[in-house]
Amino acid sequence: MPCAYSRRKWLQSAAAGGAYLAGPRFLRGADAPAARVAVGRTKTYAPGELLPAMQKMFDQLGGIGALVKGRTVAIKINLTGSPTYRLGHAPLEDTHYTHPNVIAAAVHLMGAAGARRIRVLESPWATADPVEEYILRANWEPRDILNAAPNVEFENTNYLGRAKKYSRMTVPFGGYIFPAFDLNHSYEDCDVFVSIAKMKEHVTAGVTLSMKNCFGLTPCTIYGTGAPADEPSLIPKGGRGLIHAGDRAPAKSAPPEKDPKSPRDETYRVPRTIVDLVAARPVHLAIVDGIKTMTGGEGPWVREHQQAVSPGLLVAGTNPVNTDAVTMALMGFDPMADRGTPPFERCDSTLRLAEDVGIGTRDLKRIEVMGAAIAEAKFDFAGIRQRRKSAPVPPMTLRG
Amino acid sequence: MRWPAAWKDPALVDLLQGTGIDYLIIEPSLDTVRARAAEKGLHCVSRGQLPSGVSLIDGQWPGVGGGGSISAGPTGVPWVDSNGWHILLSAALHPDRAIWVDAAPPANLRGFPGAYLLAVADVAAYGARWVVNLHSQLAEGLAARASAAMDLWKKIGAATQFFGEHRDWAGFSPAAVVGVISDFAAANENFSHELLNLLARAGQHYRVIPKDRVTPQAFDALRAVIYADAQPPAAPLRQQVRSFVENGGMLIASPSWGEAPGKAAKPDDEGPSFSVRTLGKGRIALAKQPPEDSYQWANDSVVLVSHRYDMVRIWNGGATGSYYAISANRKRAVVHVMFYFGFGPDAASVRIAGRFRTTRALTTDGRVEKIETIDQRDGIEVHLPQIPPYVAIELEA
Repeated sequence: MPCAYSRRKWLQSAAAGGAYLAGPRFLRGADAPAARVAVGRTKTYAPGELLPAMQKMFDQLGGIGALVKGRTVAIKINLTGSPTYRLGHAPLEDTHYTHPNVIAAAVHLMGAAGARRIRVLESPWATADPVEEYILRANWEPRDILNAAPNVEFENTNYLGRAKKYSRMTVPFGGYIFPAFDLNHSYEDCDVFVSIAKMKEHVTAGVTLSMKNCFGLTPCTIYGTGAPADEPSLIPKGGRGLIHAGDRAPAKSAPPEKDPKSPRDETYRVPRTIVDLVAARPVHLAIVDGIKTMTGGEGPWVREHQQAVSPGLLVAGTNPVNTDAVTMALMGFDPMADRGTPPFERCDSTLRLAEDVGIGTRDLKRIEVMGAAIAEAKFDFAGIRQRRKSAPVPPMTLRG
Repeated sequence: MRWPAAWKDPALVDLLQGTGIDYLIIEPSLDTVRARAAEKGLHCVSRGQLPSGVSLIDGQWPGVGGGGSISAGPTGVPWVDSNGWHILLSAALHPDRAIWVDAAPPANLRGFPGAYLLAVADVAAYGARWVVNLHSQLAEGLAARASAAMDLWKKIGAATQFFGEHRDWAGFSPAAVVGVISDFAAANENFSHELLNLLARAGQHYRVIPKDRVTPQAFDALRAVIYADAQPPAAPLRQQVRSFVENGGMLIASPSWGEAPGKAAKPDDEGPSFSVRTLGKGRIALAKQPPEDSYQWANDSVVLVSHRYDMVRIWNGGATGSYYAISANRKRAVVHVMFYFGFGPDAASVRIAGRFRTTRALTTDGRVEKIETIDQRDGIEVHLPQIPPYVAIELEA
């Protein structure tokens, strides 16, 4: 079922987006949408603790019944990198993968709120294998998620999947880098789109939260380093190097970049492509898992001093920019920061770029925070980052 | 050991004391060396006159990219050379013969001690013996009693001795999820051999089943069998496999299998390369095209069977291989883990299917003291500290 509901609503706000783009940046940011963000504190992933915490947060947002009842919900989770990478011996879900209990809790609550069908989506690294098979390699049990509610299914969105053709998703404001994307059908065949991310820093984008999680919407059969020049490949090969570096175009069957002469610098391209994706596939509910996570980057392969940490935080909101802004503040970063300021020392701020095109505000003064107060709940990623940046780079180790 | 051509001094035989080396493959002309070896209780043979009951395999130097340069495989995964598949095949075809593997170090071998350790372990783990074969540089260093060469030699000697002390492992049987049925010869040789090689690379644990000797026990404890030969199976084999499927197994077959009984599975089970049918309690996955890409077949078969049944999962290993063998009474098991980059990771985790009471990790240098073992659903997880490129995890039920 095409998501007419969400697309129409989004196009309405995009019409206003045209006015944003015509005006100065500070005016656009000043008017960008603001919605509630709920902050929950939970020390463990034990369902007995997690489920009531998430239920409370959903209640603080006004309940999810109106959002999901009778609808098809698509949930993009974050399983970045190969499941053979761990930070030390820590399970992947305790460091850089969205925890399966967070996914299961969200699925359960959505099912209980009347969701008609729930699709759990991810584009796993360089494979067309079913997501179930991928997560078994991470030592997860797929049934824990599939049985959390009726009509739950996984789909690998790194390729065509179960559809006969890719869905063309247009960027309503025209796009920074791409005017539209060809994506797996699941991103169009849904009424509600949810991004469940992990609270992490990111070597290219500064932070990876509910918006950066959407970078993985792009199928590598078209946007991957192994994609053919003309048509999508049957199975994905390699990562999204072409979006990072811009050293080649996606398969010609998909819309090309707007300006091949724009900077080829990944710290310019990645944040803009993320915003293009979030605009093309609006997020209705953003959830960030910060109960256990890691510092120093998005995964163990990043050559930084990394550590597993337990902030004990869960963040949720109906606007991804607002949600990411509050999450950044909880991480000790200023969500109003831009290139040159942590965590964006060497990249543009995805939040600023998203705010500029009217997706949502990053201004904490305009966002109503429910639950735990930011000052009390803060976990100081920023301080750890500052200390790390003043230390020598660690030696390479064998992983993967 | 293959006696280095440059070694003319009989005194060099003394270097072999305290190692597990008991045979020398040596030129007949080196009389004085042969005499000294005989004094030391070593057997001298030539390559053309091996002891009876020994099969010699022309092997590969194990490692990533052949131990020299690093190269990438079809999906960017490093290409790994290993002798494991060849040994398992040879053992299945000639179960009454001992297997020696002759694999010379590449000319551009880098000086990692781990490269030689891997050469010993990659063969010995599978119950065979590597014919110790020294790079000319190492042979020269040893002849000159250079300290670095002597240190490396001690490690090689310790490795051969280690496997000599654990000969009982060689009598264990491979734990397997799938069985590969083939004649492994003629028109089927290339594909079947490469399939065995790449199944191991995909992390699958398999049993080699020669087509002409499929016993009633051949399918015991297997989840699936793979039949990729170009010819259809003979009627008795077809019936044996059908019975296996009806009782809950899976057949993964090439179109040469012919018409598959049963009924079409649900549409979600239909993959790009295989049509799936159900028969009794089991399934038949029939390839849509004759087999061409053994890499794709190996990886597709792992997913068709499901990672749920992985015997071993390894994290932070880089390019790894593992071999899981169980004693006849199923009370003891050993999982050999090889890290093919030639040096061990700093924090590898290994998940092993099965229930065990005790676990210990051994390297050729001795016991690994700081391991943590965690019980999991249908398995255990072992956390290893920094280790060399080979570790044996010994288990008792």
